[in-house]
Amino acid sequence: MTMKMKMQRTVTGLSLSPSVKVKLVSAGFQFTADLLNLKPLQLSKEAGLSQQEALEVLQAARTDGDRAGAGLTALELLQQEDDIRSIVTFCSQLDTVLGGGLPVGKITEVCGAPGVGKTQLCLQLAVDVQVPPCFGGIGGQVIYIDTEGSFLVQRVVDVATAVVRHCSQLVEDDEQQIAMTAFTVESILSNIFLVRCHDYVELLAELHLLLDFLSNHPKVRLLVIDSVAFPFRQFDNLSQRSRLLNGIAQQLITLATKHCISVVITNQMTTRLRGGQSQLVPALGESWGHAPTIRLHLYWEKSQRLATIFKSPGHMDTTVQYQITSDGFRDVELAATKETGSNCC
Amino acid sequence: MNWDQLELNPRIIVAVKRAKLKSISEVLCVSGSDLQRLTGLSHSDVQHLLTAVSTTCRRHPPTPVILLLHNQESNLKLSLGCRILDQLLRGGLPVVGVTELSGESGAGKTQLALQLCLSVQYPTQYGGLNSGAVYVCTEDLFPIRRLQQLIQEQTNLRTDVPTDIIHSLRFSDSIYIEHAADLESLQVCLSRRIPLLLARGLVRLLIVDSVAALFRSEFQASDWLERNKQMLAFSSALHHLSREFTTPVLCINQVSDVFSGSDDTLGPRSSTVAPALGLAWANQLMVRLMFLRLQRTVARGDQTSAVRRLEVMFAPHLAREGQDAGIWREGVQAYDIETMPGSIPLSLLLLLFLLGPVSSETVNPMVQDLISRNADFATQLYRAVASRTDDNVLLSPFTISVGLLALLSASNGATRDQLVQGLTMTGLDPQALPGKSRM
Repeated sequence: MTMKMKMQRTVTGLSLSPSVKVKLVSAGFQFTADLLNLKPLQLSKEAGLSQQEALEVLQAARTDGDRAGAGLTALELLQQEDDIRSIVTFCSQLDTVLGGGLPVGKITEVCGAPGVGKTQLCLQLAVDVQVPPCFGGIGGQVIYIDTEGSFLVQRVVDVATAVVRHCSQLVEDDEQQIAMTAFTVESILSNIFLVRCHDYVELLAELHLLLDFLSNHPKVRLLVIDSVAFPFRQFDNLSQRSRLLNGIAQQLITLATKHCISVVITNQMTTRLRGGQSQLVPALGESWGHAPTIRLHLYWEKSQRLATIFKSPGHMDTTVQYQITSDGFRDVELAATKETGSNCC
Repeated sequence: MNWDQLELNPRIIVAVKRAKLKSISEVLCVSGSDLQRLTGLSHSDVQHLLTAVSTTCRRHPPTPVILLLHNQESNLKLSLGCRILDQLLRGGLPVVGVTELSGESGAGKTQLALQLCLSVQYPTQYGGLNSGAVYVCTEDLFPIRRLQQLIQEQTNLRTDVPTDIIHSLRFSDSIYIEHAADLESLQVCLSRRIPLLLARGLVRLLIVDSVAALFRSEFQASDWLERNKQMLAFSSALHHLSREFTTPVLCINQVSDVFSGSDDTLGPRSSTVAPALGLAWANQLMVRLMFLRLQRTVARGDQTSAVRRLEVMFAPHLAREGQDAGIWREGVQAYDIETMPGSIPLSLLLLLFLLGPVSSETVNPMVQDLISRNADFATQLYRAVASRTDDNVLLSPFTISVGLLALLSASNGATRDQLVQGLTMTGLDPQALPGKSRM
């Protein structure tokens, strides 16, 4: 019975042009189930549609039916999530609080003031996602959408060199030895696909074309947008802006789940006046805050860089310390922590 | 927008025209279902339309980064005209991106900007971009005299460049100066005249000195919303020019005082001032540099200068570091202690001090002269050493002088001249030099 209920989708719910829908309904087709057994020619005669339109109606009805049948149980989802490893950040404290690293299939937002290390984290992740599976990585490729112009090849080379050096020190068996021959700075750079978008129109266009790109590059496991805020800060019409942002959020969620990639976006901070007190909050407004699954806030406190997870379904609000070295995004070593601790006293 | 240029079924193009959609951005900004409603097209037709429109928007398909690594043009850096400062910035200013240089008045911001106007004119193998510069003044008159002086002193500053190349460049002909006293004239300048200069390849460096003056003076505190809007429009114009013409943009900014402990959102500070214009402006920058004027001086030859410190506040490719520099007649130049001529003479002076009293009973005017020259030298040396550290210092000038005098007597040519100059003994009769007379 429940199955029957699920199949009872009305034709008006299909993504068809309005005139076609009107014709279908007036010809007496109410539910998608009514259409499934028809041939295009029959349908075109009965509903007074052109053959092409009839074909599209049937295609739409069938794909809709497939989707309805593709429900997953929570157990299956859990197994799926277990199969996919996370992307490590190379900051073990942050990995621990994130449960092993940045999750694949989810959207993570990194926000913070300029210079605190958002871009550094993105570059680090773009290299880390390529670590071969035998070293505990996921060996994926990356699409990096740079809207601020802050993607500098020089810096990626720094980070990549450090990661290759790190992995080569870990080599223990033959498998890892072989993996290392293919894991070089050159191979890392050729697996990062860079797109520069100069305004929001270009960003929208690129996101539209990404689905196609991802189908042709099934190994992509990470999409970085650094930053979403930059092209959208200068916008007069705020309702238009939040509508576009919602559209982007929707597209990103589809990309993340359908192609099983991790989406990392960065956001700027802005000052909000509330009751005479100014406060730093992520830009782009309240409704955008619902788009990411995880929100990571990077900030300075005295001379320490701190990262707080402040929205996540799976983790408590936790704060960890990190540092940016010439090698990239790293843990703060214990000795260094003690030293700064004593300086404070 | 000429829709007929799109590779689409004519049926779709007709529908788009009928829906009175005017531009690509209009199509992309309308949601998919709204497009279906507006055009009366089916779902798959709308997808075709969106794909075609998006493809025309896209400048490049996603490019593997390895291809950029070997692209000479995108890896160019604009040299500051000083080897040590270039090391701090890993080669100089990136050719694409907005760089900010802030500092108190008198810290040397304009000096560095002028130096960049000259440095940009050198061929690329000497760190330049082989083109001129455009300098937008918003607060003061362009310091033309200082520029003339810098041009004359180029041979002393750029010892790495062959002199015939320096003399072949007509520096002042390639610097275009704009005065913009208010935002309106600045906008005209940025939207009309400067794009023209850039498009003709006459300039490849844009300097705005300073951004703070305009935004600080034209708006009341209560107009901050309007101010932010104008500021974003201004910065997006800069970004556009920088990207479109692969041209470095340098914005000079003032600083404002920070009350202790009030806010550390931008990281630890090494002084009590912070760049002006707040977070909204900082969000627009790629590289933020700061010039600090320190409380000590440094000497070099016959010149002294207050010590400046150039600090990297943030940049995607640089560490938070700083480098001490001085401002000399020939320009802004960093120094390191080993190569600084001023530090050599200290030991010599001490030797002379010690030599002086021995012959004090029969003081001859020549020796008297030597003693006073040496005293000058000792002071300079002491100053140079003391300016590097606040710790206690133990110096044995006698030892150093003996060593240097020995060296002096064994040297000739340029080395000898430099030693003599370092010991402030220029113009003395060679026979009167301590190296000759005493050893």
